[in-house]
Amino acid sequence: MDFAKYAAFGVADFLADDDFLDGVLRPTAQTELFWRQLAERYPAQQATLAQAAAIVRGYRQQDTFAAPGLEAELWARIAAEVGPAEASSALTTRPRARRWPVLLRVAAAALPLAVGAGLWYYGQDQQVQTAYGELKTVTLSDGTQVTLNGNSTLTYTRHWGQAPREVWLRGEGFFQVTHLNQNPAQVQPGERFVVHCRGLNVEVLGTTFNVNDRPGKVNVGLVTGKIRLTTAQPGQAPTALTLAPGDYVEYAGRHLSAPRQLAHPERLTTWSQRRFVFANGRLGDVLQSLQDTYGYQVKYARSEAANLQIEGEIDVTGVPSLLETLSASLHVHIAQQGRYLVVN
Amino acid sequence: MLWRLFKRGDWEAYTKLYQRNSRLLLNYGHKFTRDQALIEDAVHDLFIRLWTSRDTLGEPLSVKNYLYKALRGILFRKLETRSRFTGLADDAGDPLGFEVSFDQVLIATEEEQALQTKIKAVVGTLPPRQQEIVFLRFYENFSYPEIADIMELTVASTYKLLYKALASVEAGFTAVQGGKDLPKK
Repeated sequence: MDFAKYAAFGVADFLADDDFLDGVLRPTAQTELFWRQLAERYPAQQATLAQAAAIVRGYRQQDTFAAPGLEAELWARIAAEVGPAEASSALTTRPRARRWPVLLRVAAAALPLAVGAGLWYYGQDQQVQTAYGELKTVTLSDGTQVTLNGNSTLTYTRHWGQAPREVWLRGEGFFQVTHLNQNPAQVQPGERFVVHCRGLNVEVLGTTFNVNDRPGKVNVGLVTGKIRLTTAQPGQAPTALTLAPGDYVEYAGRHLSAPRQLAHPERLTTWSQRRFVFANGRLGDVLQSLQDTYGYQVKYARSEAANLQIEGEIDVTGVPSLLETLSASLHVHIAQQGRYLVVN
Repeated sequence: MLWRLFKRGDWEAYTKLYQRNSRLLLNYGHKFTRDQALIEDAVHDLFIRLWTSRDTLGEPLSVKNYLYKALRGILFRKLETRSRFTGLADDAGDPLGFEVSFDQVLIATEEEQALQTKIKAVVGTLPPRQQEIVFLRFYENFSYPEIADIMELTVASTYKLLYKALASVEAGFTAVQGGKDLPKK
């Protein structure tokens, strides 16, 4: 690359130049040096270079349409049409070693809902809050995407710069973290990504994961990549645990359970399609999650009903179908009356 | 390599192809139209066609390039059909609009916010083909020959079209700084 050709370049010329674009998008020590030297040699070009680079970076901050549930649904259509007989459940039977989106669920007490959900500034932090039953996808300044379930809050500092990327989550979120790490042997602070939940920090280098943070417990399920959990309770020696793909842990009562392998980690994000998929659950737990996410209040005619076990698998879309299915299989009557779910 | 395995009928390889590309393909589709069902159908048709005609496929230089070009063609036909039925034709009869959005992004500083607003405004004034070429280059990072292939242009025309777009972008930025109105195309 020679300097002279760039001496009289305008913004458009730089944007059209492949070497320039490469230097902005995939900087190396060598190219960084070149562009720095160019700016020194032709100081008049400094502003032009900066403008062109800013335009590229700013343009790349645009919205990316992402709907993980949609992609899965679409695949099901495709597989059903041309796939081998057993392929229609291809998405749920992949072996452990494959790359899957990382689902991290952190359950902790939800903050009381502020008046009006949406985006607002909280001191130095930026915060996005969803209303009950609302799904919202947020793109952070590094390109990381977070899909929030209902009644959830994501808070993060407004300017990361070279500092580690940190967010605070209450509720449930599916994270697709931009992988920034160049050299695994030497992780730069800015390449780290940490999710703070009550009592637990989840650190990832770049991966996708779902976090369910609801009252009482934190559930963490890793599908792809690698994450490290550290407990952060005062007066307690910090414990660290590294999860491998497919691992699932629960953190409750300040105690981190031993990881267990999930047969179907992808079920952790079916909420993004408003699908309810689970096997062998306890009625009380299922209704509790409806309460957390949708804001219903559950009333039991007989309190023992909460302990009823749901045998077999359930896969339904939408709350009405779920209530119908539960009523039928458990021989109870669950009715929705306004914001109440009444179990008889 | 994944493509070769898929051509030989490896279902797992084909699944991986979908997983690796579906999100960006859906995103690309979303720039042409907000008709969700149409975009889904287009991606669906693309992958069905891919599987059923795998024996006849060659070795593209870039799989992503190939998929984008194919999707674009499918979208074009679907949108053209739709515009004929609804009687809604674009000027010059081009059923393919193109638009990027910056609504969801939460910006760190006010400076960056101002830049975003400017970019959105300036890019928004470009005609669809110019918006698309800017997208393919700066967001998807395709090379000139790849863009030419996807948009069915000669490489020379690609350079020209991109340069036209970039000149407008530059003018938009310097004009705004100078306090003048955006120049007309």
